[in-house]
Amino acid sequence: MISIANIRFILRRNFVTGIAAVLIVVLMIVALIGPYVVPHDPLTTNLREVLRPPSSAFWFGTDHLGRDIFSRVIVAARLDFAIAIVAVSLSAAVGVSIGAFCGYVGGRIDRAMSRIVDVMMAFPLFVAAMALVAVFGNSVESIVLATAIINLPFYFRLMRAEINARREAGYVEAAIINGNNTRQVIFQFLIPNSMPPVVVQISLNLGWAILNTAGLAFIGLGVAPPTPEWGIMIQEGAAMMVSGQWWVVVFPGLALVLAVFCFSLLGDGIRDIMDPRRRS
Amino acid sequence: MRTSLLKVILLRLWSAIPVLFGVLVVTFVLIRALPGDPAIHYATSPNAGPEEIEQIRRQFGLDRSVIEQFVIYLRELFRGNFGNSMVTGQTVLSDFATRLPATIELAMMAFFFAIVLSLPAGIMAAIWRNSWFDQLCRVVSSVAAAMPVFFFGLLLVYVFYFKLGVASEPIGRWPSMIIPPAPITGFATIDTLMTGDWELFRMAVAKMIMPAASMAIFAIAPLLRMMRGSMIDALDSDYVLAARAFGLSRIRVILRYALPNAMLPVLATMGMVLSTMLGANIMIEKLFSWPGIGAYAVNSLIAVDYAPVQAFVLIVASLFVAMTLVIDILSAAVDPRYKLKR
Repeated sequence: MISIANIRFILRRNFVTGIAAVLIVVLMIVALIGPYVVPHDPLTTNLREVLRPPSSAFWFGTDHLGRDIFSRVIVAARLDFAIAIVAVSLSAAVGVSIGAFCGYVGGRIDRAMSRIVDVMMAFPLFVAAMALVAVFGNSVESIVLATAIINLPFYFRLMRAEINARREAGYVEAAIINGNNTRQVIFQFLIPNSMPPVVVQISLNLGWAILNTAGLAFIGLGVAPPTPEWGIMIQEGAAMMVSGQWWVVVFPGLALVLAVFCFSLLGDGIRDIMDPRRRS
Repeated sequence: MRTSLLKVILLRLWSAIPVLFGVLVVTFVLIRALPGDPAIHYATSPNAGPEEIEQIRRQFGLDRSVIEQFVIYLRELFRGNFGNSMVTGQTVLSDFATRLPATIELAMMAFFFAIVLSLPAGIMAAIWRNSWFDQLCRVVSSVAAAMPVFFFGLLLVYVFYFKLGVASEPIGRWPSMIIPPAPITGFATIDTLMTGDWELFRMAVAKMIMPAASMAIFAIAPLLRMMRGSMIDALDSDYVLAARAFGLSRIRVILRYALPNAMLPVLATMGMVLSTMLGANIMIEKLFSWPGIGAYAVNSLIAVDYAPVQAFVLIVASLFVAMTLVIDILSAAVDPRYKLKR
């Protein structure tokens, strides 16, 4: 098992990954307690304080309705993370289960599923998400569902390949001889042994999911104003970039970049730790 | 060599057919899954009378079985009938025809930017491994990978339009005081070159630089990383060692032996990048009010006008399948291993 000393050794060798992990924990805490500690209400408009640059009263300035951008950036973290986490968990759970089943059992179901996944992969992710949101209706739930569906193929293919490589392994044979049924072999033996690449995929995916949510909100899908959300805030500030009020766009944008950056660093880091050969 | 390459091409073409068929099924289901009556998608105007709707219903066999409906759907697609747009009052096909050149032009320029920047950088990073340049490339590609295209676009607008004032106004395809020239091919750059109007050509290109650069940003990370990685593999290989041992010059070893072999995985990445570009163009066209198919599809979607949306999904997916096919065949064509098998 991994001991404290072991973790310290890994962290010393993977300094950047450690920082990314710490930052993600900080961001998560901010998302959790943010709404209770922000200095201003994220929705209250104040027409006497419109488009103020960053100051001691408004750390990130105010937007075109006089709302405090700092408070809005902090409060938005919860929604963006919640959407990403729910969507990716859903995607990973379903994708891993189906992928594992198809990889182990094979046959006609496997071929049919693989074909379906091929077709799913023929749609660029963002376009597929857009079409799905159109079908499910323009709401936050649709964004979650759409994000979950467009990421399914990655988990399916990953798990299917992993299981395919392991189905003949000694411990699988041992498990079968010990009287485990197919479901037990898949869920108790094969999936736990194939999890490492899935963990990497989940970390990378969380970053993409956040980007995806913000992108959809930016073009007017999913989350709707006046809800504080990074993509919407950037969209609302877009017109002010031309007249020089940079802070309306830059702070939510930086929050977005930071979150995505941390998740992708963490994903790359975990991959390096688990597989030294693929070190980039 | 000929036979094996031809076989590969035929095999790839064959394997693309079920995917293309699946794409058609998906868009067919999409029309029926979208809220509202499918007959409405083909109506000529929002206030089409019940008689017209009834006629469309019969024309598309909406009162018949699903299989028959699908066959009719395919027939109509084959005839170029993608339905009508409620917003523009035109057929979706003609709307796409006027907007597609703007999209392709922009995507091509973005792709060009991405390649010109990331491939040489990746090659140099691989040659001078762990140098300051390599580290710089790593930082740049990590940040670029986390950068939303629309945010980067806005940063460019602020710096180059507002602060420095060197970029042209970040709205639309032509400066606002210019009367756009009559389209010949629809490509602004080609049209102005054909009429020999250098001033307009310069304006068209100037308008494209910022949106194209913002679109290129997400393509830089995957291309740069893949180029560096595969170049390192190639440089570490036995054949490069052998070429060096023969006393060939460093430049010749890199350009003649390492690079062609390193290009294969990069080609595959290019396919992926082009596909993602079709998604990124939606955000960029929306941001820069670019009159392309991405902005058209989003605006239709928000206006609850679904015929253009399903056509967009179909066209983009087909383009993607076609591009993957071309990349696959190209990979096979440049793969030295196919030349060995005579």
